[in-house]
Formats: sequence, structure tokens, C-alpha cells
Amino acid sequence: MMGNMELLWDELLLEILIKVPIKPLYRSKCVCKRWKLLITNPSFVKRLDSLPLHFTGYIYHHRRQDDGASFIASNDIDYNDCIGNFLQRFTLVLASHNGLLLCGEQQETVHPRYRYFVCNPLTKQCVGILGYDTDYLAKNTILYCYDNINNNNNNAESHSRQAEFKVVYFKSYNHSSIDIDTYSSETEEWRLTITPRVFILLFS
Amino acid sequence: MKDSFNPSIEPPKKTVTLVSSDGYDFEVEEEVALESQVIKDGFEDKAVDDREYLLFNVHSDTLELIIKYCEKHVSSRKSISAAAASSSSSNGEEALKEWDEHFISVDTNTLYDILMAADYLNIKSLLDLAIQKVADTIHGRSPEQIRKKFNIENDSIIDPWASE
Repeated sequence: MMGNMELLWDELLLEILIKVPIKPLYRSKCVCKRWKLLITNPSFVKRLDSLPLHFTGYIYHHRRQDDGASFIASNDIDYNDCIGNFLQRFTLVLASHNGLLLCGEQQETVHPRYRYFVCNPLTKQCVGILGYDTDYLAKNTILYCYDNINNNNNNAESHSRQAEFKVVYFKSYNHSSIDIDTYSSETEEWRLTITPRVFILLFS
Repeated sequence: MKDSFNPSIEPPKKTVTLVSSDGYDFEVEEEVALESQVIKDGFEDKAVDDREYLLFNVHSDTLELIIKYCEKHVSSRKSISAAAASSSSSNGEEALKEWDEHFISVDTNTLYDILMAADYLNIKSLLDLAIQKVADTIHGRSPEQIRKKFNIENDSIIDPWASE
């Protein structure tokens, strides 16, 4: 029997699918079960060059916090499959940058406590952030992500795009200074910077 | 046949015999056959007078196309490097691209056969060409059209209202 796609082994089919632009690729998930399994496989998703680091849309928090949040894409790509898994109940999206989300997940205890993590909804990767387990981070927090591919040596598994990020938390301020706590994914530590208030004003 | 080391006489072109799955012999020049990485890998180990390759997975119709492709690429490479050496301007690369595009514009079944054969013989540039062509075919088609085009059975939708 000729011309039957089922005769192609997975490796060859994957080489084909990886050449398809992201939009038609996501649509092609519906072709059959095999395609869906291949296309949504995290190791395949990681290889996609055309993977948009910047996906556009809105995070919509439901009025009742424990209902979680939804992502409403502003283009017609169906992200629900990948993002739906993340924005579960008790999850708050605190900040986003370059396609990564800083999320707080409320632990089900008497006093609300949060577990914080940065996730890439497209690759389904999560990186936990240690150090804060209360709801402090919920406010005054900025997420900053950058691609470290160019910084590091290129030969080290160029297919696994591990975005580096920093979480900047404006901890407190008074008349003379502002305390900024910065978390870096490289060092996996928080670093406190006490900045004279004057300095901030100059650049604000 | 004795090998001639006399530089003034053009040595006869060395050939290799490729045998298709349906039993046809194709005599091709050595450098054309060496476009296939698979043939190249085992080439040195084989005796000079025993350079015959049985290609169990490649039908004669497909093999003919593959040889055509390899011959074209070998000759183009030569003329491109010749043009580069004499620093004359050449649009050889451009023309080859066009030729490739025309070459790969075939019906789906043939495209499959080329794809499988290029994979089996490990001819990188042809494999890339065929892969890109299939990817282009997927691009711009709805899932239903893709299924139809590639003869894929739809097993992903379970319709609760279907009677069967």
C-alpha cells in the first residue's frame, strides 16, 4: 500500500511536523490521535523554533479567586490545551513577561499560603521559587525573563530552551530607601538590594 | 579492467550498480551513488569489482527519480564550483533551487516514495527537500483536508451522537 502516512515512523513524521508553522501545527492536532500525541509531547514542543515566546492575550481572573483564571488569546491559536493545565483552581497569575508566567498557588490551609512558581505554559515547565511562602509576593512584583541561549555556549543542547528569569519584588520603602528583593533563576536565591530612594526617583 | 595511472589518459568513469526492489539494474557513476550516505559508509569496504547494491526498499520508479536527483546535484555542484573558481558570476544555486522545486512537485504517492527512499538511503539534501514539501502540504490545509490528502483515518473525534 503506497501513500499511507501510517507507514512513516515517528522520527520522520516529527521531522515533517517540526517544519510546519505553529498555527497550522496546532490545528493539525485534530488530524488523528497519533498526530495529537506527537505534537503535544513536551519534548517535541521544546524543539519548536517557531514557538512564540511572546504569545498574546489576556489573563482573566474569575471574580471568585478560587475559581482560578483563564487565558483568552488575542489571536486564533488555541492555547487552552497547554495553558488550561496550569491555571487550575487556587492559582493566581501575578506577573508575566516574554511568555512566562509568575504564578502563585494557594495552598489549602486555614491561613492562605502561597507556593510560587514560574511556568512556561507552552513547554509545560515549572520552576518553583523558594523563600516566600506567604502572600507577600502577590503585590509589587515584576517578572523579567531573558533568553540565555546566546549567553551560554551554543552547543549545550540548543534544543532545550531554558529561559532564565528574575523576579523583582519591591519589598518595602520608606523616605530614604527602597528595599528590592531579586530572585534569579541562575543562582536560585533571593538577593536584597537597598536602594536610596533618590536614585529610584531619578529613573522613574 | 586494469586501473590506469597514466595521467594523460582520462580514466574510465567508475560505476556502481544499484538494484531496485523489483530487480532492475541501474548503472550509475560512483560519485552519483556516493550522494547516499548509506552507500558511502560501506563503500571502502567493498571490492572494486563488487560494487553492487541491492536496494530492497526502493522501487525502480523511485530509484530512477533518486538517480536523476543525484546526477543533477553532482553536476550542478561541479559547475557551481567551476564558476566560483573562475570568479564568473553564476546563478547556479538559484537555478538548482528552482530545479529542486520542480523535481519535488509530484503527486502524494510519489512524494512518499521519495521521502522513504531518501530516508533509507540517507540522502540528506533530498530528505530535507521532501520533508519540507510534505510540511508545506500540511500548512494551509484543514485537518479534514490533511486526512484526505495523506489517507489518514480519523480516530480522534468520538461523536456521542453518532448512532454507531
